[in-house]
Amino acid sequence: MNRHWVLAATLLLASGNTAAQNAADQMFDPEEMAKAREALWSSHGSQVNGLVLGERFEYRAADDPLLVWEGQGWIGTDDDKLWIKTEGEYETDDSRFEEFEVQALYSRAISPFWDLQIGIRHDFDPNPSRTYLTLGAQGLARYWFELDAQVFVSDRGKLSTRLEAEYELRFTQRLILQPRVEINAALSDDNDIGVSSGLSSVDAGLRLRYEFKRTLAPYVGIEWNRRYGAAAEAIEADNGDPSELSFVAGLRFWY
Amino acid sequence: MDHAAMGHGSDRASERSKDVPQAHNHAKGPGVVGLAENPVNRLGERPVGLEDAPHRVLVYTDLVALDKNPDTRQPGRELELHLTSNMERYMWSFDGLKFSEVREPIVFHEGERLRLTLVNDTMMPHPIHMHGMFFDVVTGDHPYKPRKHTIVVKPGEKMSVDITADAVGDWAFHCHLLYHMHAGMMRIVSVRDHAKHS
Repeated sequence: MNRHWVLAATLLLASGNTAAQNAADQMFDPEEMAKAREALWSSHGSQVNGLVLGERFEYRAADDPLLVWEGQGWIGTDDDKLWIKTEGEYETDDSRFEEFEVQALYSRAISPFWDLQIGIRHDFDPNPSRTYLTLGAQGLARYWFELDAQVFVSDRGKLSTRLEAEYELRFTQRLILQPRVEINAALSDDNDIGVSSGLSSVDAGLRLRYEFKRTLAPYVGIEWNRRYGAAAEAIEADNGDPSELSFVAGLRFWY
Repeated sequence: MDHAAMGHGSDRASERSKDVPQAHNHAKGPGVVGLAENPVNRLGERPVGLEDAPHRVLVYTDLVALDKNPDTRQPGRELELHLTSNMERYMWSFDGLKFSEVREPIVFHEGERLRLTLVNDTMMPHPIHMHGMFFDVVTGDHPYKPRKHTIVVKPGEKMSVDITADAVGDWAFHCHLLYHMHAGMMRIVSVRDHAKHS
C-alpha cells in the first residue's frame, strides 16, 4: 500500500507539467509507458489459454475388441481459438485402424454458450482416406446438454452430417454418469468407404466415471453401436450383426 | 471530455422508481450471461455463506465511521458500473467489456464528490477494490458512512459508494479476486485536473 501512496504523492506533484492524459507519462518515457500499458491490457482479458481433453480413451470389449479414443484441445483467447478434435478406433486383433480422424478448426465464440467452428477434417482411415471441409456449432444447450453439430463436404463432393450430445449426471461431485449419443448421416453415397445416403450410424453410451482428481477420471460403461445402410449390409454379408452392445472401460483426463 | 459517450448515466438513485426494471446499457456478448433484472441493496444482509451461521455476523450496515467523513458534500453526479461475467467461459468484466477491450479510463474530475453505483449481474460476490481513494459506503444519508477501499458486492446487488476524487492520477480499479482481475474485471480510474488538462 505504501508504494501506492508514494506514487499518488509523486503524481500529484508532477501533474500539471504537461497535458498528457496518462499520469505516468509525466514521469517516465511515454514510449515505455505505452508498451507497459499494452502489456497491462493484454494480461487482463486477452491472454492465450489452452485445453487438452481426453474425453474417451477406452477398451471396448466387442466381438472384435477395440481401442477407442476421442479427444479435443484448443489454444486461443476467449473469442478466437484453434480447435483440434480427433477420434478413432483401433482393432487389437488385426492390429489396424478402423477409423482415424483428425479435425483442425477455427473456433469463434458467437454467443455466451456457443462456438462456430470451421475447418478441415481428415480421415486417415477408413481406406481410402478422405478430406472434408467442415462447418459446425459446438456448445452448451438449455438444461446443460453439451452439443456438437457438424456438416461435412468431402473432397469427392459428398455431404454428410454428425450430431453429438452429452449430458452429465452428478451423483456426487466426483461420481458422474455420462449418457452420450452420436448420430452420423450422409446425404449422398460414397461407396468406396461404405457410406450410403441416409442414416449411417448411431452410437449410444453410458459411462460412469469417478474423478479422483478433476483432471483424472477412470470409467466403466456400456456402448451400443448400430450401423445402417451400406455399412450394415457389408457387416451382414460377413455374417456379422450391425447392432452391437459392448462393455467399455477407460480413462477421461484433461489439463 | 464527453461523459455521455462513456456510457454512464447521471440519474440519481433517489429519483429512480422501484418499479422501473434495471437498465443494462452495456455491452453484451459471449462474455455476458446473466443480467440482474431487479437488483436490490444487500448491505444489511449477511455475506454469502454465513446466512445461517448460528452466531452474530457483522454486516456493512452495522459499521459507522468513528470520525465524521472528511467530505460531506452531496455527490454531484452518479456513475453506474455493472459487474458482468460468463462463468462457463471464465470471462469476467465490467459493463460487459474486459479490460483488454477498453482503452478509455473511467474519468473522475479532481475535487469532485461523486456516487459510484455498482450492479452485480454475476452469480457470486466480488470484492471491488480501488486504489488511491476511499469508498464512503452509502449505508444511509448521514456523514458517518463507513470508509472502505474494498467493498464486497453480493450477487444481484445494487449498492453505492461516494468518492471524493482527491488524488490526481491513474488508479487501478478491479475485482480483488485476482483471477477475475486478470480475466478482465479491471479498469483504470483517471482522476484529472481539468483546469490544467482540458
